[in-house]
Amino acid sequence: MIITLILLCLVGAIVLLDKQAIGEFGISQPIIASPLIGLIFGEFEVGLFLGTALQLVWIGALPLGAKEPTDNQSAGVVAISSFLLAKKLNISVEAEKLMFVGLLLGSIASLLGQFSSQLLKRINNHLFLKAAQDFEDHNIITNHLMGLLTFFLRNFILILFFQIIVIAFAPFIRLLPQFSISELIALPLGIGIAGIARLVIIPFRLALRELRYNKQIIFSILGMITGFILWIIIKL
Amino acid sequence: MTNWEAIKGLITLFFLQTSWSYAGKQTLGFLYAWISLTRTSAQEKRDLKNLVGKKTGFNTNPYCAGLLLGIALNNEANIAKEWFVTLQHILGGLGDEFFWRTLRPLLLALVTLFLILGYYQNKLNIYSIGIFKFAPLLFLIPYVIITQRVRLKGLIDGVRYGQKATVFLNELRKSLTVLYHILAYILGVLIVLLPPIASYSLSSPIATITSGLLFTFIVLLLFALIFGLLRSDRRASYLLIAGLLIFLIIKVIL
Repeated sequence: MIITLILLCLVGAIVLLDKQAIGEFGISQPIIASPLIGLIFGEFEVGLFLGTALQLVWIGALPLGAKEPTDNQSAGVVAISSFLLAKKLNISVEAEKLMFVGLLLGSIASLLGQFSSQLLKRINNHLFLKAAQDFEDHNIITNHLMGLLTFFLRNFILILFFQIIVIAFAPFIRLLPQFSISELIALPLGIGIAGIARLVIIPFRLALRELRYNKQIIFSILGMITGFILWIIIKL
Repeated sequence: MTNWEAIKGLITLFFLQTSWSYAGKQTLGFLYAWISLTRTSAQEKRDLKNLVGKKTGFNTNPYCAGLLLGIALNNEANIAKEWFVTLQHILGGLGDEFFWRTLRPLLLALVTLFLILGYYQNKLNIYSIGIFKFAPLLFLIPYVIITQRVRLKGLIDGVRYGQKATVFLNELRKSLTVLYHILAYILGVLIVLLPPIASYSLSSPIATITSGLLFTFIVLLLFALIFGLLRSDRRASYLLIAGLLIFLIIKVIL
């Protein structure tokens, strides 16, 4: 179990580097990270489900400028890691109960992840101030790449924290009521679709004010027509 | 700029935000990339460190930093600091709007809704959703191609054309307008398809007109409630945590 715990923290911490420290390719998004970690540990379908359930919840959380949004990347990684460890500790318990634990801990991780990201950026201030003393090349390179270590440690500790919670509550997981998949996905999906609407409607509302030459309206009407056609096709 | 230098430049830009901090933002990342790509005199280094020094700092959208790096590599000595800082902010605003607010959420939302459709088509049996399981790649592949193309093209154009490379901004602005049109179109489709999808997903097919209207009213009411509550993204977390716990309590009681 210890090996699984350490492996989960290591793999999760590496995947989360994509959030900011390396590349920002999108690998750390729940819909990629959860199935990816699930694939590594033999639970691809559960990872895909947890990633799908969590992906839309924070669709409106945007890293604009220096703002630190809620950490949906850590939510996805903690959700699948918690499921995997809980399963290791409770082989006979129904998977839906373990998924519920994953979703709950993942949603809490989104807040703790945000807080720890802000804390990390204050810690990185020291790296910058040390480099800025003389801005010598080796000073810049050393302190900049030290950011990889601070970010990795932040990820590792965050995941480890939630794994310890899973270990502590493992005996009680079997007492949870049984859930169905539609029950598990209903709430995140409801929040997610409202989040998409917020994301789409707010610029759309701004666009509505300039109704005179606004093309968005035309494209929306085309969309509605397509929607009706699709509905009719589905109905037939 | 040789191909090898361009690739090296792209790779160093992957580490732009590695040591992001409130004090220096992306400054160390920018200087690290610049140091990795040039062998210049002490004077030229001083010029650049004045341009991106302790006080001014460097911060823009990470995918658009290639253009600024290229311009700095092209003629770092004669760039006006104010112009360079202004360009950072313009690229920051335009880049954030394009990547963070529009492209990424749009791709993620489409792929996730497509996956959810797959789940419902397979009666929510998560272990057999067939081809839908490759859906995440529909986000990852285009997103990586677009973001890395912008990074690399910006770098190459910046080195080749120097300050004239800012025409790149127009290209980004036009692409943003196209994305808005796509967003508006999808909003139209969603508005029409939301009630029937919701009714199908909660396995309560609309029998009569009145039940259909009632159902649509309930869905939209619930929608408006969540919509109003989601004023900040932290509330999505609170809503999900509280919702899951309340749901757990109800399940235990019933």
